Amino acid sequence: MGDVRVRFTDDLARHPAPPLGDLVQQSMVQGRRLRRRRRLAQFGAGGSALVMVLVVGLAVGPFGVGANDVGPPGGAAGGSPARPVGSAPPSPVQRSDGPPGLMGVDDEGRANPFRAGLPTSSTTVIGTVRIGVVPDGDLLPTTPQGALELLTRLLPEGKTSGYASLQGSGAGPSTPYVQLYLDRGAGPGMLRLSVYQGGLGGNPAPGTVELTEVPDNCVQNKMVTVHHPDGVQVNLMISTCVDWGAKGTLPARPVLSVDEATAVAASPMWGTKLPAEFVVTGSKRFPSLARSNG
Amino acid sequence: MADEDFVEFAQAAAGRLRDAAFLMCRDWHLAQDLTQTTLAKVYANWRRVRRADDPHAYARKVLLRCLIDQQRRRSSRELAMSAPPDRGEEHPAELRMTLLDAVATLPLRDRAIIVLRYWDDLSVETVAEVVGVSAAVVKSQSMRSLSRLREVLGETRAELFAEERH
Repeated sequence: MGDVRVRFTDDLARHPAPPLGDLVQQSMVQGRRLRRRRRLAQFGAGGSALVMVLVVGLAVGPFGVGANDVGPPGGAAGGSPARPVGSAPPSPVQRSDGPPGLMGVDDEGRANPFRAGLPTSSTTVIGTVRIGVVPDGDLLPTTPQGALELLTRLLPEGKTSGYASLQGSGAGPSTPYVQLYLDRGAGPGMLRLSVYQGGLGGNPAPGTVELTEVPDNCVQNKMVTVHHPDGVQVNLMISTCVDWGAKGTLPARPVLSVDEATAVAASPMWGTKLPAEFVVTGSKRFPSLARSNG
Repeated sequence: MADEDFVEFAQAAAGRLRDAAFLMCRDWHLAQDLTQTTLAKVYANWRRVRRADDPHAYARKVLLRCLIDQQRRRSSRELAMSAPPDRGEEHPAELRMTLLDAVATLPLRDRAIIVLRYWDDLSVETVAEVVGVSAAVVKSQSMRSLSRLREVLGETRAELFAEERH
């Protein structure tokens, strides 16, 4: 053992260390940032819970009035039909620090004619996929244009249009969040995609596929999330309307199945960096992207 | 007050953490980054960490986790480095394979076990806790790794095994 340590010491002596400099101070700055992000995430979760409590409270009525009026178990008093024993749906997961625009909090920031009241969302794990290996080659930071270029290549055959770069709630400036329309012959349908790097730890294992359904939100009606390595999550939203900007939204058919969306979002090429070819080609193909207020 | 505690801890731990990181990755720049990230995470949880039995062991655990994450990221995303890792100046007399070179041939977990065990001088139990394996695995992997190192270095020096015989 002594010999091993002596030889390590010799090796270290041959490779002199650079000065530590202000490493400790810098780590404190970085640590404060981590704390802030964590607090924000907790605040977000707390806020969501509070909203839910308020909504439930308002629905039930003050001081529980009405809470006892639902009749006996079994729903015989005109409530919703009784659920068969053992058929409880999977527990929804409320996301607190998810990708931009998630949770159905009107990411349009305006009234949506296809939504009524506050949206309710549920997220369930629907499977796992194998995330392949990124092909060799140069990588560049993911841009909205690069993300659109890759997305158009991964989508099933069809005509694409309506390209836009979005700024959703919770999206950082470097969070690519894009939109396009895909027409597979039955009219255009809208898709939105975001590539988001989550907070520290707590991320599901790479390859985990989640489905978030927000029935009240036609823009994010279904969202497939595929978790990639390093906390990266790719969210592909399948809309049941198309967004015409200031003109509002119009109903539209979903243009991808959940399986197809999973295949797109599971491409190993997604990440905070993309193969350079997509970024370069995307910047030429989409030189001036519309900026939706989505 | 908590900040003062942390600064005291970080100043005492930074050099040693960075050396351990370097022995595992052979790149001072990366070792510096990993150490800073490690200390940042420790600082973010300092209130809890300072109450732990051994904040240094916790920091090593975080460091190892950062290194594993970095390796995973590198293997899946990054290009081959344009320049070789910082290896310092090599003189003709030093062209023989060093222990550092030999350790680099081991898988990351085994590298960590060797560095923590023989450079940081941690007990088998502490290494097991930091690496997240059982004490038996630490012992058996140490033995195998030392054997492998001896093979790679082309040596038959018994001292390399001395400790494992106890």
